[in-house]
Amino acid sequence: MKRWVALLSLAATWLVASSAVALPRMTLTAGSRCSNCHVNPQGGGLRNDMGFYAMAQAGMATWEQVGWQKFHDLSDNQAMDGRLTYGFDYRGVVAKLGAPRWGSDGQVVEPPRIPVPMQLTPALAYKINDWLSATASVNPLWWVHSYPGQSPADGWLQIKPAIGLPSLRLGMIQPSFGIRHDDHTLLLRRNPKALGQPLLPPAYADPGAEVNWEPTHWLSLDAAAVWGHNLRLADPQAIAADKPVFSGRLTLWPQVLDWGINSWVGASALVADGSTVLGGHVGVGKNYWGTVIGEAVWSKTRGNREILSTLVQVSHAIKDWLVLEARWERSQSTQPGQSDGEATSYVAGLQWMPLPNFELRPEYRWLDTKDYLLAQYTLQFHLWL
Amino acid sequence: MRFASTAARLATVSAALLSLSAPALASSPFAGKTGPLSFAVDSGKTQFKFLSDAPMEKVPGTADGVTGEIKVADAADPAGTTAKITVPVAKMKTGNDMRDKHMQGPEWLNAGANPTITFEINKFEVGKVDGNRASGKAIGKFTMNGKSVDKALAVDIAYAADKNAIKITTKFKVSFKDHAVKGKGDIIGTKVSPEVEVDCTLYAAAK
Repeated sequence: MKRWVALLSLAATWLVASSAVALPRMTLTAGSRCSNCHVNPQGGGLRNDMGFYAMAQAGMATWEQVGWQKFHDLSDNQAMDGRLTYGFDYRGVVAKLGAPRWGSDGQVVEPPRIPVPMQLTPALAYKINDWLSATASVNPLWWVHSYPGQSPADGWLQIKPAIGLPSLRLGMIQPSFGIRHDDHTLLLRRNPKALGQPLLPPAYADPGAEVNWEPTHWLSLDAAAVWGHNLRLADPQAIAADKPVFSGRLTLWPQVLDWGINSWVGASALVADGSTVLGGHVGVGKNYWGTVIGEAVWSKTRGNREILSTLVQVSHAIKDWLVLEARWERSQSTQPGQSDGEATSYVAGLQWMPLPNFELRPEYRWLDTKDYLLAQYTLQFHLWL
Repeated sequence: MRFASTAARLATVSAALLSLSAPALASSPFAGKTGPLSFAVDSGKTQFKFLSDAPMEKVPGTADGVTGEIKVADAADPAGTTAKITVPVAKMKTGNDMRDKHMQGPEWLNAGANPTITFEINKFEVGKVDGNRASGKAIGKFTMNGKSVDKALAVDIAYAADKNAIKITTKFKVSFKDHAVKGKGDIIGTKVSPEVEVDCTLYAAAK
């Protein structure tokens, strides 16, 4: 059991931390795939015309009501006759980062609560012709603070002959694995013995290629090969030297249309330099109501370090601009000759959009590791176009 | 030659006798009724479903609050049936609040300017009648987004004599282009199908 738990957890740690915001719950309540709203077929980051359109009116108030008429009147995020798509993501958090320590007076000293800018990512996509496009984004905050293995930029050329046919992305990409969550702090993405170092850092990308194929409404397939330089920097224990990394993901998207039920279920695998990561993900959503998502990731490195992590997340949409969310995660690691690692996390909070394209996420987080317990309220904020 | 002539005469007589003994072919599902009938649509029971089956996305939807009146001029001959069925755009749902707002917005069905979708039937072509059931074509004017087109819908009718109520089922397609619905960008054809499939089961009780 423990072994299985560890298996699922590492894969997520490695692969799924994402630079920008994809909200997996949205695919489950709307019955739409990530690629319907994002330029990146795996979701996250720059939104396409549909993605902009879908969220342009989602807010408790409108920009017009607060006097920003120009922003309110923005009808799309495109220029040059629809050839150029533009956007950005700005994300930050106010939180206590790090672990509590013992003070000289014998009292526990928690890290200070500080505002941390996480991401400022302008992005562009240019449609060269009907089957070829170029996409790029850069995160200047990388030069201020970054995790090992995090990439300051990503970008790719995408060849997509037609809807229903495979598309090919070439460039600095993040291989598809499991669910592409919007939260960088998931235990799924981290080693429970070294929480400060994500196994798959936010905005991870390496040079390579990926084939994405959505042949029908109910099936999507992804296969990638990248040169694992940044992945080695992120987790040198998993990859000792720059080596090729191969990954694959299969997802089924069953729907019960008459009941308003959308779901996905899938599996992922990643291999690199003798290390293996396997993952499984499942989600069910009910129109107008909410979602239940489960994911598990297991990994085993060359040094026989095993990590198994699991996640269960429930969300309930009160309004399209107000969502209740709760999450439970557990991650366990084992390695011969070393002590086991273990961490459990509970998060409950709101996703509140007071205005379109602006989200506040007040949360209460409870993190229990073998070394400490840290309970705190946090506030994430996200502004995007 | 003489034998053939006799046989032909016998055949003619037999046919005449048969035509007298057999019941007349029914032409109305309202068996035993004559004169005008009037039915009001039961909004609570009526089911109105639609589906956009585009290459990148399948979007199902429903509409509540369907109203209408069906007037049968002569129950013995339903050809003169007229009706008006109304679907309020504001009560059409696609399973997602944001998508509903868009569907009802000015780029799509424009509920502000054109709050209803209507089908005004001015003629009914009776097809096959089998007891209290009949199939046929409801012919009239279909109006969406303020633009009307002539439409002939294949319908099935079942009449429940004991309740004096009818059930009408129909499936048909509605083209956005026919109704000058332009949508947003190039969404029609990729994420929304150019034609939406409608599946309606209408219940109506005698007024």
